Amino acid sequence: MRCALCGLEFDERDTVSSCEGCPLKKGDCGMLRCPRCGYENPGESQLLKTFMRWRNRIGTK
Amino acid sequence: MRTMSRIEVNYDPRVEEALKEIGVLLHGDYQMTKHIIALLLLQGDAEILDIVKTREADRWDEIRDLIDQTGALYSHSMNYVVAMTRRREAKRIVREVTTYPDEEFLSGRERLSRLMMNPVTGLPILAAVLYVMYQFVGNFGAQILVDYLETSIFEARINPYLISFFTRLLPWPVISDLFVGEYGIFTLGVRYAIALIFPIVGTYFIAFSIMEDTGYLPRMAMLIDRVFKRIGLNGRAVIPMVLGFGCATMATIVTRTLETRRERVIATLLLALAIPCSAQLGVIFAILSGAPNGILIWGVVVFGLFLLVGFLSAKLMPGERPTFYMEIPPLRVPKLSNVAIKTLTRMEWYFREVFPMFIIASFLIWLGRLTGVFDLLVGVMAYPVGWIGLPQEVAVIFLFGFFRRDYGAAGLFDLQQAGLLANPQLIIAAVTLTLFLPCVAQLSVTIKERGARMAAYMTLFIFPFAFLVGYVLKIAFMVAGVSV
Repeated sequence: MRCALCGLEFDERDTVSSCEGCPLKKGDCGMLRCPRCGYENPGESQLLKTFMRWRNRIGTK
Repeated sequence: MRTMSRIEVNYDPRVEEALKEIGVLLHGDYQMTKHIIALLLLQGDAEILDIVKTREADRWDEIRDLIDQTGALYSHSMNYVVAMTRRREAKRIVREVTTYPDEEFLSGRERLSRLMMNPVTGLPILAAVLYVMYQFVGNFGAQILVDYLETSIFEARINPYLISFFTRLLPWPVISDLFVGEYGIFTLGVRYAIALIFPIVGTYFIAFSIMEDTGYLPRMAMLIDRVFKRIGLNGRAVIPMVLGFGCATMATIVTRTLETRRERVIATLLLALAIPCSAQLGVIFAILSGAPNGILIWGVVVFGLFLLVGFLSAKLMPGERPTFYMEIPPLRVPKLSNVAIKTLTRMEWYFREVFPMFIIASFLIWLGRLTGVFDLLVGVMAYPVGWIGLPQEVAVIFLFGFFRRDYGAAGLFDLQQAGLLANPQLIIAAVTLTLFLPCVAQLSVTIKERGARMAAYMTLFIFPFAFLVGYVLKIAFMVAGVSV
């Protein structure tokens, strides 16, 4: 993905280490922190993901 | 056929000297020139450091000393020194091989992009962007949506039903107060989260996501950087400041990327003092939605103090001012699907974080009232609150604000809706609450990042300073003939 602030292209897996030290989120906030500037880019919505999974399940039945 | 010519980059003589000396000590075979290996060593490349340490074990101490001594000659990391030299060289080459037409052609977007980053035109554009945001959040979110959710849903349906249900289920007022009392979990915590915060923060997140998707944020960062430089602040501090408008707690963590301790301390202080987080900013827009002059006074005071404190701190922090550079993506029309997904993700995160906190706050207040601690704290807070010309009810808001910034702002919004505060009082309260102590989460991160002593110094400065500014504002209103 591309950081909305500094423009860096980064892999979503690179963001995990940035969650260390966060007292609130512990890596499950859905935000992807840019490894260069630290900007929080919104990732995929969990709600939307659950909805899509549910829709796919209904579709395959 | 053209052949590639080799480009020699001339580093600072002190770096060149170190490269030569390290090169002499490298005896192993690295399949790269000694010059490159030495350069990577100076830049602290972990992989090369490991390899050289193994292959040059006899000479490693000498090599290590040279790396450390060279690094100590510069106030910035060797990575930065090397990158700046290469950048200069690249610019020189570009100058030599590029010709420009007499009149530079600029597309409409490029023209707009430059206007956004030029301080003369960029600041009015920034003010216009914030004004549109203020109108959207303050009028649509805070008036129409809040009014509907609070009046038609909570006050007309949910609250009466829950009050009657809990009063019948728990006929002891001490216990039923926990759920449906003045500060009850449902009547305060859930109502704040759903009827007040949800529509205000939701509309704020929509506006912010649009701003983000257009590519305006990096331009805003560049603009702020230019303004920062004029008052002697470092450009690197721009990023945590911009992040602070999202969540100041997270931005405080990001200050660790700043290079010197002084920079980290100044950025942390400014974040704690003068940068409102997204939720707090949204609610402040809402509180002052009926008073456009109020939002202007609030903006001028908070931004002015930000610059003043930053300037004074920068005076205490002499040092080089490094170049701030950032890739600027093209301006684009925002995509509806992107904006919707970003808003939804932010709302999910916010609710997961805010909902339990609001419920815990209601529980703690209930416990505090039961034990008398709450009334004691409110009594203590009532003194400074009274000095700045605000009624005693606002003392509770400051306690809320320490628990969570937006919780305090929501409480203030509640008082405004109830008509308990006049416009000048709202402005004083909004300014003081913005400057007031950071929330518990931000304070805990500050302790973790900067140490307990520094966090204590900051708290001891911020608490009286916030009320002093509130007091000065009160006097200013009185001098101007506005009753407070």
